[in-house]
Amino acid sequence: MMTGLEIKNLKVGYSRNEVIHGLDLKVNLGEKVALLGANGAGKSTVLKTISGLLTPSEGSITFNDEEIGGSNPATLVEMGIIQVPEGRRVFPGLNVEDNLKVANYGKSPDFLEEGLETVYRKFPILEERRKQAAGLLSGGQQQMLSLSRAIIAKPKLLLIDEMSLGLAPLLVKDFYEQLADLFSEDVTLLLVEQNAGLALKYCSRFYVLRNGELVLESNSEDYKDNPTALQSAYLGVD
Amino acid sequence: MTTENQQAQTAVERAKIPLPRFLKKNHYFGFLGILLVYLLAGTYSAYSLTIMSTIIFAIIGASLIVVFGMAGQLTLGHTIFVAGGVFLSANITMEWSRGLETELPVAFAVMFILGLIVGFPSLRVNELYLALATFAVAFVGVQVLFEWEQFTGGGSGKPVGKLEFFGREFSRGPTLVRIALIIMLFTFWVVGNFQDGRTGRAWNALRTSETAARASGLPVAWLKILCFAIGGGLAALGGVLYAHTLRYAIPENYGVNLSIIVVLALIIGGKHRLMGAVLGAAYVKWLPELSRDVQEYEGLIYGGTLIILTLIAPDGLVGMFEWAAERIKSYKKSQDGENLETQIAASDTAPLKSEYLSSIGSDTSRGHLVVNNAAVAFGGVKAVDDVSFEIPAGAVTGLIGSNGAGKTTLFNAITGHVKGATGEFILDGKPVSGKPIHMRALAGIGRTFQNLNLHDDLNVLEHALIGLDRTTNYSRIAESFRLPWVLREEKKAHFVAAELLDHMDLLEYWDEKVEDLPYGLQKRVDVVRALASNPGILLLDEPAAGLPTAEALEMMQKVQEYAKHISAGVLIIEHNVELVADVSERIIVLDAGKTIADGTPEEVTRNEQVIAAYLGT
Amino acid sequence: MVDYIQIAWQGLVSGFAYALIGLALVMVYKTARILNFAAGTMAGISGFLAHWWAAENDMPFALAIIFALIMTAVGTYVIERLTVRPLIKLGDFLPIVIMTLGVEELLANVSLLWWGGSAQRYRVPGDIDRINWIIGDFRLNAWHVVVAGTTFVTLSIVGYVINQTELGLGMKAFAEDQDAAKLMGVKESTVSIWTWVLSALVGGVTGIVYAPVLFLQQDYMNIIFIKGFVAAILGGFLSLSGGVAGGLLLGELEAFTIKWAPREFAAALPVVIVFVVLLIRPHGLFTREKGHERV
Repeated sequence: MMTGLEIKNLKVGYSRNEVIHGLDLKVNLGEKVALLGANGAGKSTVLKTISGLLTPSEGSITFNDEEIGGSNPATLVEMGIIQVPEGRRVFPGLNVEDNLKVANYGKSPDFLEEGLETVYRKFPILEERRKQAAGLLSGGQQQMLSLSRAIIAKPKLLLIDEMSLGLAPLLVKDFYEQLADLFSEDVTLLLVEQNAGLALKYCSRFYVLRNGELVLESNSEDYKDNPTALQSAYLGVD
Repeated sequence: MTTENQQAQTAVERAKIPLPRFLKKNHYFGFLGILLVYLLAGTYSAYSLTIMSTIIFAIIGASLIVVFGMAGQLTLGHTIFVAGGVFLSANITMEWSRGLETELPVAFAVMFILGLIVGFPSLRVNELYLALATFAVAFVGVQVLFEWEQFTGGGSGKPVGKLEFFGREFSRGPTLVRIALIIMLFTFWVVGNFQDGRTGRAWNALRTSETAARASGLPVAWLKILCFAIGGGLAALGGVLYAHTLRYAIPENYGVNLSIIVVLALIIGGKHRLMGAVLGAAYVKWLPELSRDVQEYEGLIYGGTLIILTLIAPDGLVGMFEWAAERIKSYKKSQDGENLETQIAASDTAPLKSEYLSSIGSDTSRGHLVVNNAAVAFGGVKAVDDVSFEIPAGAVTGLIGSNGAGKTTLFNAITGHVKGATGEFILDGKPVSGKPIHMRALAGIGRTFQNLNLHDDLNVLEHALIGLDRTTNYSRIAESFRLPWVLREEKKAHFVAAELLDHMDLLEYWDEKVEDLPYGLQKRVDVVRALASNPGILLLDEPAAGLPTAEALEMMQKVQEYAKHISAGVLIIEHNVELVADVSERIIVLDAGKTIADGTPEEVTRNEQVIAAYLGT
Repeated sequence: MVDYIQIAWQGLVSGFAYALIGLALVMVYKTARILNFAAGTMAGISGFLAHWWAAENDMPFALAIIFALIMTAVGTYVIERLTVRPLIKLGDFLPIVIMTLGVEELLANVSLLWWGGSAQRYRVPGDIDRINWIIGDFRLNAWHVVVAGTTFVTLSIVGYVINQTELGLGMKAFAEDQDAAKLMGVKESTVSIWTWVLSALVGGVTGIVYAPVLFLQQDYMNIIFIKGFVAAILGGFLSLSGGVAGGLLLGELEAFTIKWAPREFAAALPVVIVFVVLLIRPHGLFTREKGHERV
């Protein structure tokens, strides 16, 4: 299988605080991979570095054999690397439709029309509320909006950061079940999640981070029926 | 060196930390410089106006150091205090026929009070707004002067009376320069004393992080207002001199332009040092003397200088000199093959047993914290949802939970860092709910921050001293005159701080600026600051996040030791469950703002619900 | 009754200037969290440029204005790239404010050297600024009508750019959440430069249309700058429409205060307003309070 995203010996931090101490990770084209770990393990930092919000202090990140570490986020968006940020991060003061329009920034309006149609078909509630300020939507609706922005952006590599954060468990389950339907089969996915059970149902492979270091890498199959085995990898206690 | 010898040495001696003294090296240089000008005052009469205005600008600059350099409040309305001094001087000399003995104290007092009022917006707005709000004050101030004819004589102004001191009249010329030098000496003395004392430290602290300053128990609101009052009062002294130099007070001289020029001069000179006030004043006042061409392009040159300096040397001319001196020093050292790292001899006595720390030790356990029905809601989302627990005195308790569980918000509710928290918080029998942050800190709640709220620009020792402010005991008036007991108290604080640094293995870094330290050490500094305030209960927010487990464990042990020494309780948020389990006697688990488990580490880490919350289901 | 209408109209005419400058200030503050101290002087230079092209280079009135605005845009571009941009990466706002102060000092002196300190009349075609229509007891200056018209056109254009164009959408998104906007492909440097240029153009238009009202003088826009700032504070500094509304309100307040209050008080009015607003409604009169900030 062709390698899509490849990360080698990545070190990143905020000013002097190194959070990721040398990470190696690989996602093949079309593959769905989860990056797991307890809170504070450094998962979001990895995603932010891939999407260009943070600059690596060492190591390389390539997508389709092109070096992308330290690139401008706008350039990466053009390449099709799209991140769904943690905490949804909708623009609260803009209405639903404007939020979706921003996702088409710099691209032809024709794409937008097509995208809006898809989005409204999948989430009719967003069409109903399309003139409402996004800040007034419920948490679940905001997550819909956040995912919809990614749909409109037409990702080749999709990075989803912690969908379960601050949402009711049932709702989160719903979103995970819908993921396959929302994005086409050949989209490469790297998913960051604290909630291992859900992520493993959707992803074929996973990595576990603890305190900025990789502690486990495996196939989902091997752990599906045995989530307690993950416990030690997560928490570091037996 | 023998062991006994080392034992006798305090941490201060081993690290060669200079102790506060009545006169420092800077003082001698300052006196010498001022004496020189004093003696030469009569000789260059052609330049006496330039000399006078340089001195006046240096005084105004020093007063701005208080407001802007230390407290970090960018004010563009500083000239209203100067103008106040000028017109008070005109009125006192003309209407009351009194001399300097009345002008100086009245100008200081009235402008001190005006400063209390002008400083008020600084409580409500961020530094950007403040700059504009004070700009508006300056702008409108001039217009008011124009309109207030009774006081200012309106557009045509008012003459200034004789230069007198207790009825004795002086000729203006060199005598005025000498009087100005004495007033400058006084101003510099006061500002310098603040720089060395607790108030200056507190101003520096609030400039670099207001949130942390509050958490250390500093009365931030009062400190902000005070900086405007003191700065205003001192600037008015410059105003009185201005009046006597020009002999005529006209409102249009004290407009926005002057306000901007004095700030510009200080920034060009260097806003953190008194020398910066002198250099800035000299730059602005002597540059036009060079030639007529320069005079014409004066403002252009100031603006250009400021732009260039902001880009390359934000600390101004003084900063450039200091930087150069530093480079030369380290170059020389490396040429001489000297070891750049100074080794600090280890002490045989544990720092906790040292004279200074053992006196702080306490036998009565503190930190009995009762939390009743704590709740915090952000726009409908309940971040903390009816949490109640009680922590016995002297206990170490862990607080864990997944991302967004409400742990930090609970801390913020206890310390007062979040608005709209409800519930009851009682520390050692005293309710703290509803009180402002610094009052809670003074009541004994110490905390650290998840995202490291350190005071950049300040060194490690100063962080410890900021923590110690709560236990330092002298008035601000005593401080401004450097009275003996101020020095005594300061020395004591230095000794305690040094021993505490030694305990936390930070002594060798005491004079490093915190932003130059590696992350692990910064975390320790944060903890030291909280420990120094001698808290009843210490709230640690992810003290070990981002640290390797071994280092984290070592730090936690040190903290525990110290907490036990002062008999304080500890409540610790930490994601490293291993670590929490190791140091805590009990763990409380939050999920979605609610307590889902509460028990010994063994019980909690085996609890099904906890595992589910962490791993998800 | 006519008296009141006259005062209200007068207030409106001053209010338009405060509203436009308030809008220009809020625009930059909202997207970049920067206060531009040079805004007043920059606007004044636009006025001088238009005067210079027309009066000294015999250019047609309208063409002179277009030239002046083009130069304003180019100048602003250069200022943003050379002075503000290098500091943005540091992430600290105080140096940027100080920088704009330096720019203000520099520009103020450039204009002083170029045009001298004396006041000049800005001539408009047909001297229509001297035409007054008398309707009953109501006096209407022709140029004031032009000022009102220009204000409406300018506000409409800004409204169009912000609400109908992709650039405006990017600016709004950027103002709401910088990181999220970047993740959608909105370029920070593009947004920043256009915000500055747009803001300077609004200022420039204000400087030009108010030149005949105020006389061209080296610092003639400073007073408007201050009051524009007060307008922005009234509007909560984060709302474009709030800034505009604040400007109009301030104009009215001022007009009626001058009529009835002592002169000293009328002069102090802006500062009184700033203090009162900060005391009772620091988030402005028209916007609701924002949520808490996390420690």
